[in-house]
Amino acid sequence: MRELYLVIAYDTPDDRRRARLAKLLKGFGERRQYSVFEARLTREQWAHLKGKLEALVNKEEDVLAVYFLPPEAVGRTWRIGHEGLKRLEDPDFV
Amino acid sequence: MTLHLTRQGATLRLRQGRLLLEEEGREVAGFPARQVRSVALWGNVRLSTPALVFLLRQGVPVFFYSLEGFLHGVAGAYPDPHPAHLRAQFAAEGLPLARAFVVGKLRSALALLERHRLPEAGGVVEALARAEGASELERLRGAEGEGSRVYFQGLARLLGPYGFGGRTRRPPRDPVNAALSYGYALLLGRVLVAVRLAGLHPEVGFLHAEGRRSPALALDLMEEFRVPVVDQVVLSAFRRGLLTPSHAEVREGGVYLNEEGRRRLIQLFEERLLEGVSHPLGFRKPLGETIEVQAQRLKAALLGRGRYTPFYLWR
Repeated sequence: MRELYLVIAYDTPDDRRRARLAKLLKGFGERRQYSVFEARLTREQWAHLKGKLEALVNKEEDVLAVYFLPPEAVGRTWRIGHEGLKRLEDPDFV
Repeated sequence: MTLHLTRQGATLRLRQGRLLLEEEGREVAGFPARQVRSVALWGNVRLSTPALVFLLRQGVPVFFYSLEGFLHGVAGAYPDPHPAHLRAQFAAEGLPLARAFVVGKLRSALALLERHRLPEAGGVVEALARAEGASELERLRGAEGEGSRVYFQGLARLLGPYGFGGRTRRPPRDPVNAALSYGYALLLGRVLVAVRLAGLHPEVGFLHAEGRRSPALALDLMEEFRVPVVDQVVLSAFRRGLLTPSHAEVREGGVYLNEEGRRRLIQLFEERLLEGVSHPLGFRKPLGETIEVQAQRLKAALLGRGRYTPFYLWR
């Protein structure tokens, strides 16, 4: 199954929408910075997320962009920082 | 990501699109639910019904393991095999497929022995020749048994310092065997899911006996992955000092990995599945995906679309 690797960045002047966007995206990907998320999704999951974003974003006031990374680019991603930056595919143990 | 949950008595719940692990009502970890690709529950870890339903709907398999590494089962909403495929599976000529599984396993075993310049390679070459020429299932099983025995004798030269003198199971009798048994249980889970995803019946096998309702087909397909996935991980873990005899303990008449040992082995196992490997047919993919590819190719062969080529280490 081919998965999509994406980076989502947004900005909005509205506190309520900002909070709702964050809450939505926290179910889909890892938060990398205050309003930047990274996610690896199936096509169905992306279609589902896209529908929700379209309903939530205010086209007059907000900006939101989803950048799709090709697999080669994902492999070359360079990260620096604490363990919160681990790769999405890495296993988790609790 | 794969979630391995080992915290005894904790509960995994779904809340606002996130999977939360709670212990006595306190949240100890949280994950974006849609990032999770498989969940392994070790021992007494609970799962709420909404969380289970979400995972089933997303097609995420949930593995139930005992702390000793026994795979109780896998929850997944897989459709039952298509009747036409099931008939093809029953009608298939078993011997060529059984031979492919054994040949794949022994070729990987040979590659591993040669990499370490072990003299037992000669014995595996002989067993391989007998397997390739076997005209009956019993002879094929004999060649497989002999080849494996010689192969583990070779490994014993490298793993002797950690108490390994050959393969022992049910129960494992030394730390290396404990790690091997644990690793094979992890691998079986992955192969079982690959077989179900391909829409094949896991109990209708060709090499393994079908008695006692064992997942014979999953065990068949697993043969080609034992060496490249588990043996290689266990061998390098002990030789690099990542696993030591102190990571195992005597329990109930056998030797089993302790908590730290389990953790380390699971981590190395998952890392290995993400490594790219070259298939004998020329393409390159992560080892974990290769398991799924082989299950799909097996189905294609059963339906008369092409010949089945086993996966093995070849360079």
